[in-house]
Amino acid sequence: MTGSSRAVGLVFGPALRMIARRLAPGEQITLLTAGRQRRGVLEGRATERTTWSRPGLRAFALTDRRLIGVGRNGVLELPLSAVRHARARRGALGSGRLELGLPQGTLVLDGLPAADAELLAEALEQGPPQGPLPAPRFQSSTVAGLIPGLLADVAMLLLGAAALALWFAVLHGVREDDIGDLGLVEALPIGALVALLGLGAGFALALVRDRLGIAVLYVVILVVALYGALVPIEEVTSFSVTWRHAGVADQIVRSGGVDPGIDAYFNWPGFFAALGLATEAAGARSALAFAAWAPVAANLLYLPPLAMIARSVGGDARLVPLTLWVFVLANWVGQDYLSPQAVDFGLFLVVLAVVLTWFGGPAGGRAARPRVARRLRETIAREPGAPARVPRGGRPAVLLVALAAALATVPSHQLTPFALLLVLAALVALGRTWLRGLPLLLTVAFLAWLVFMTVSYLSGNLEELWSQFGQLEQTLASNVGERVGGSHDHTLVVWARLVATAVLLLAALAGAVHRLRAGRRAWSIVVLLLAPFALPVVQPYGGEILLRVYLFALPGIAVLVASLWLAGAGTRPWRSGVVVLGLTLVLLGSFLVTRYGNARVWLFSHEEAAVVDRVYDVATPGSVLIAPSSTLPWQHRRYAELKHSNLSRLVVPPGGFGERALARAVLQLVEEKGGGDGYVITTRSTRAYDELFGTAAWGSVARLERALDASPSFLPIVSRRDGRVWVAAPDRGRQ
Amino acid sequence: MTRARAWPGPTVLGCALAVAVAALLGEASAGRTLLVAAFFLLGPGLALVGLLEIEDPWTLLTLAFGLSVALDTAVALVLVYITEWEPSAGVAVLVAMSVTGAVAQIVRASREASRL
Repeated sequence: MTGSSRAVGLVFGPALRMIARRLAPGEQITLLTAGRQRRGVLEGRATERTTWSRPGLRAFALTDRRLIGVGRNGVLELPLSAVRHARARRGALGSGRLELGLPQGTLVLDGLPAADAELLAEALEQGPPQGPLPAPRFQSSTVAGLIPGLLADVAMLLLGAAALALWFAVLHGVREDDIGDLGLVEALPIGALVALLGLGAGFALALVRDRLGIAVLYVVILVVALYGALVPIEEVTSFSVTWRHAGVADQIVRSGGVDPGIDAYFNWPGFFAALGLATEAAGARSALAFAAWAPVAANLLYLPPLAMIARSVGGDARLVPLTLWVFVLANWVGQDYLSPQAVDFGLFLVVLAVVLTWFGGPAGGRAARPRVARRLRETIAREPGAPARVPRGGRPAVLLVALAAALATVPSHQLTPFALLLVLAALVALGRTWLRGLPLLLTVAFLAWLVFMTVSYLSGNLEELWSQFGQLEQTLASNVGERVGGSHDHTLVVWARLVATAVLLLAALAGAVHRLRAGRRAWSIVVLLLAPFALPVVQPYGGEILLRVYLFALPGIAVLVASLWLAGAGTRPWRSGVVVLGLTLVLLGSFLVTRYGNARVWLFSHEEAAVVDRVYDVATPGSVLIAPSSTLPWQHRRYAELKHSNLSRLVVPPGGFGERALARAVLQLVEEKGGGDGYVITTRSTRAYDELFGTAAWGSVARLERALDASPSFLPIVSRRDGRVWVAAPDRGRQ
Repeated sequence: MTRARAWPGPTVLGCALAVAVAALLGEASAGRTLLVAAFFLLGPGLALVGLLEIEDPWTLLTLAFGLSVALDTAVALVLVYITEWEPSAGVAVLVAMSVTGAVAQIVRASREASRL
């Protein structure tokens, strides 16, 4: 036995044994090929098993009766009498493509080694051998190419690891003060850009070489690099809302229950209760312990359901890593911090992944509908669903998991169940799933939670919530118009977000049109893309609803943009690589500006955190803490015991406040909140907020500091470079 | 037993026991925080979903994440609304569920291995 045949035995042993087991008595092999299928694209329908699309080691045996193929998806068997013609062509990315004419149509096996495809086509064209059989031939295109292929794989892995190490090494040198109004991008050293270029090149290379496992690994590296970018820079946990969320969890842990009267968070406490439980299990002093890497963890957990959603449309296996890549580069909205919406978005993806994988496809039953709607529905519903293997326990088992995930969104977040309901209802209405009961159950659970668990919140806020229903003009103004402003650089960031979002949406629509015109599955993804756009009708959601619409539409955007990307990449490896790398660099540049454009106000120094903490140490219960804006590291302790307010509540007189009037107005706010002492806090981040977003109607932070210094009603108790605190002393002012 | 189905049982068992031991003995540390986060996000779900014999890792992780978060939320809400807030009891319930599922996976795997 030669070394070569030993290697063949080792590598292809299982596949060859499977072929041997299938041979009938007397059946003889005339040609045996074994190779690594770079990419499996099976077009046409030859057998029931049409999901022969996983790349990997594969062996074909041509016998005097049949063609037998063994691969990672199972076994393909075709009687020679069924093969009308066979042709070898140039396949995708320089591989071989075997086209078999069958009674049902043409079966295309793409991604084969070119030599294998030619040999098989030649042998099949000759038909069943006549007379004495020739000696069996063996062709292996893999053994010779195995070592260079392995070396290339190792090189790609090393490139990814080196790029990640370089990225974090150079970020360690970035200081918070280096970040200006354009955000993180202006503080990035050249080494960081080299690292990102390396990641883009590595991913493009992995995709071109059809090393899809390595491509997915690059996606993971990209998530760690991009979403962990602030970790080496931040001195303490960044983003003020994260501090508030830690405070809500802390309140639940300390009080041992929820008081729905505190605020909305305590009417949807599911996430915070679980976070409190995890904090206790970790023995941590605060839920902030989980905050730094939360965006990385969230985005890593989004990848599996997103991969399932991408796979549900079938076709080119490269669509999965490319969809994940697009998603990671396009998720700039920053809702993945330690928050209920971050976890609930993951559950949203899980439910849709299950529905599209096991319950997609034409729905039964036809209700009477207007003619046009009926035709549209029938067109959309006709498209077949994804063929997927049903796990042990059958569909009911996975349906239970999806149901649990859907119900878990209800007690944690106000908006996610709405979004999930919209998408599920649209999928049902358009015949893209036959799970009619799921949206119904979710509706019942959602209404039951509203009615029984949020009464105190709704009774106090129903009028305001109802007044926002259907106010599209107000929604557009608060979500877009009012956000375009602030410093020159910040205005650029806002425009970059608007342009990036519009371009991605247009690309997704083009991807949908391209898929549908090419006869590929797309309707379910189109529903995922468009259904969230009904959300703004409900409410402006604090001026953030368009951000959330984009987030909920992002799975659809990612699949369709990736699909268009693949179509544009063509079949030539170099062209494919250049297209992937070029678009990666464009999206990376856009991401760094759009995602981290506000980093200057997100980041807090040790000193400002210490200044704020000092107030929490000394404030008596019932005291009110007032800041110019909410962008400071506060609310993480004594959440319900102390009151928190910002100056946006001040009613500004025509002509604005003078310094004395401003101090009086702040004092009045303290007295209105009443019950204890009043503290006014200004920090480096609230000053940065002023500069970034523009001065508020009541005045600037600098003016506030001057007004408080000059007022006899406020005593400065802490004065540091990054933070100042005054305590209100109304009696002293009146003397 | 395929490779994709072999790892969840022992992994979850080890992780759940480590969380339990850390809760009894350990001091707070970055490693413990990471362990608890991983357990809460994937542990209980992986223990139960692993029984479905799913080979595909994407599917396995998707279902494990969805079920884990659902179970974490349910246990935490029961503690908040129905019983006294006893975090150790909540963690014990999640660990017990995970250990049960993981042991069931391991027993089934060993039975299948002995049949071959």
